[in-house]
This record gives sequence, structure tokens and C-alpha cells, in this order.
Amino acid sequence: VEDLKERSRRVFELLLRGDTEGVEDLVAEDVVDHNLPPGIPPGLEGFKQISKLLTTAFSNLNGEIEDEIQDGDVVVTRSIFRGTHTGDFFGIPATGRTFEVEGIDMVRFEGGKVVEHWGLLNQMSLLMQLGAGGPSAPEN
Amino acid sequence: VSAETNKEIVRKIEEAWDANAVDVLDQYFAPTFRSHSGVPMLPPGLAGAKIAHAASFESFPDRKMTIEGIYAEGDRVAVRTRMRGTNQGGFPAMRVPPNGNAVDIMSISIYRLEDGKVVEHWGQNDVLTLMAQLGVAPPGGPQSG
Repeated sequence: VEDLKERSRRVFELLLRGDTEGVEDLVAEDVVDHNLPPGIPPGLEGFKQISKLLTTAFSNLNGEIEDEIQDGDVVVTRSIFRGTHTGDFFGIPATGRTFEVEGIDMVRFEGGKVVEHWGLLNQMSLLMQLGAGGPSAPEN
Repeated sequence: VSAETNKEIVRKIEEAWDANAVDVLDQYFAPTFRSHSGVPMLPPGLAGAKIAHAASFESFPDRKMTIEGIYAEGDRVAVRTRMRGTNQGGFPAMRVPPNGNAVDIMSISIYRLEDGKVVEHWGQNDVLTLMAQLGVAPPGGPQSG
């Protein structure tokens, strides 16, 4: 039985390192990301752009795996992500601040490649650690 | 207790939350249960989770939850859910009045069970999507000036 956890780990390592060479062996060309950030195209190209976006915004970026659940063709990973905010992140200029935030990701494999991804992290905690304020008044 | 049995217990828990049958939940949680993702200022454990759930029902009285995926290994169960509803009661935490806006939000939870009862929980909700659907500007960035 193929170790999908090992493949999942390699996918997140490549993503956070910003080195996506060889990623086409691990992620399908038409991968569907169900939590695609605004302005990012779908598919493998989107994966590469997210990697670039993250590694431009943050240095010393890493994910420490707290838990892994494999069930059939799906791997669930709970991680603590850490990094330093040294570049523009969705309009928030570099602050030099460090952050530590929990995220839970799910990836589904077909033929050894990721074909679907769902992922959520503690968005409010991240923004507050970067110094962004609380929610503003409603627009409408 | 097998991973498949744990999966069925978590399915029953999610269905009880959805049906607002909160008394049904007590049998599935150990007295020592703690959530690592509870709402600050609320009591820890199931009591706090019930308070947060009641607030959600006030905001979205027509809310409907569906289980989109459920996965288990060993003593842990991960579940991905989707909550749909309309803002009929307002969302005080973000100072949003009732505005009828439709919301459709993904959540992911991981439960750890011992002897068929939940002892730990971790969860994440898509809060930025919720804010956008409620009509709240996200914090930070050019939008908030």
C-alpha cells in the first residue's frame, strides 16, 4: 500500500519551501482547491502561485505536523504553521512579526497525485498576529 | 472501539448539533472533554460549545448542516461540514444586524475519542468567507484603511 501520508508531507514541504520543481509528480494538473484564495487561478498553476505568494510574504515558513489521519484516499493533517512576515500579504505590508497558527488540511489522492484539497486555518488569529485590527463595521 | 464505530459516533454528534438536539450530545462526550478551539470567555467543555451553538442558531435560525466528508484513523475522526443559512438574527460578534444575507460556510473538525466518548476537539471555520457573506470588511489590507 502506497504511503499517502509521505506524499502529502512532500506536497506541503514543497508548498512552504517555494520550490515547486517536481510538484507535477505529486499534484494533478487539474487539482481542485476548494479554498482557493482570491485572485489565484485553479489547477496546478494556482498551487505554484500560492507557494510563491506564501514564500514572498513569509520567511522561515514551516508547518509542524501535530496529527495525521489517513482513511482511504484522503489524508487529513493538523499543523502548526510558523513564519516571519517579511513581504506583502494580501495588501498587508511586511511587519517583521512572527506568527504561529493552527491549520487543518485535507487532500484526496488519485493515482498517487493530489486531485482535491480543502484547508482552513485560524485566519483571525493570523491577521491579529500580523497586527491587523478586528472586523470593521458592515459595508452594507 | 474501531475507527468505523468512532466515525458513526461523530456522525451522530454532528446530526444532533444540526437538529439542535443538544441534550442528546451529553452521552457522546466524556466529562473531561475539552475543545482546543473553543470560544474565548465561554466555559470550557461541552457547556461552552452549547452556548456557542445556541448563538449560531439565533443568528441563522434556518441553518442546515451537511457532512461533506468524514475520515477516521485510530482514535481520531476528522469531519468536513458545510453550514448554510440566512442572517435573520444578526451577528453581534461582528456588529452585523439581521440582513437576510445567505451564508455557506465550510468547517473542519477533528475529534479524539476514548472508549466511544469524545475527549478532545480541534476545529477551524472559514471565518473570512463568513465575514464576506455577512457584508463585513476583512481586517487589515487596504479595505480597512
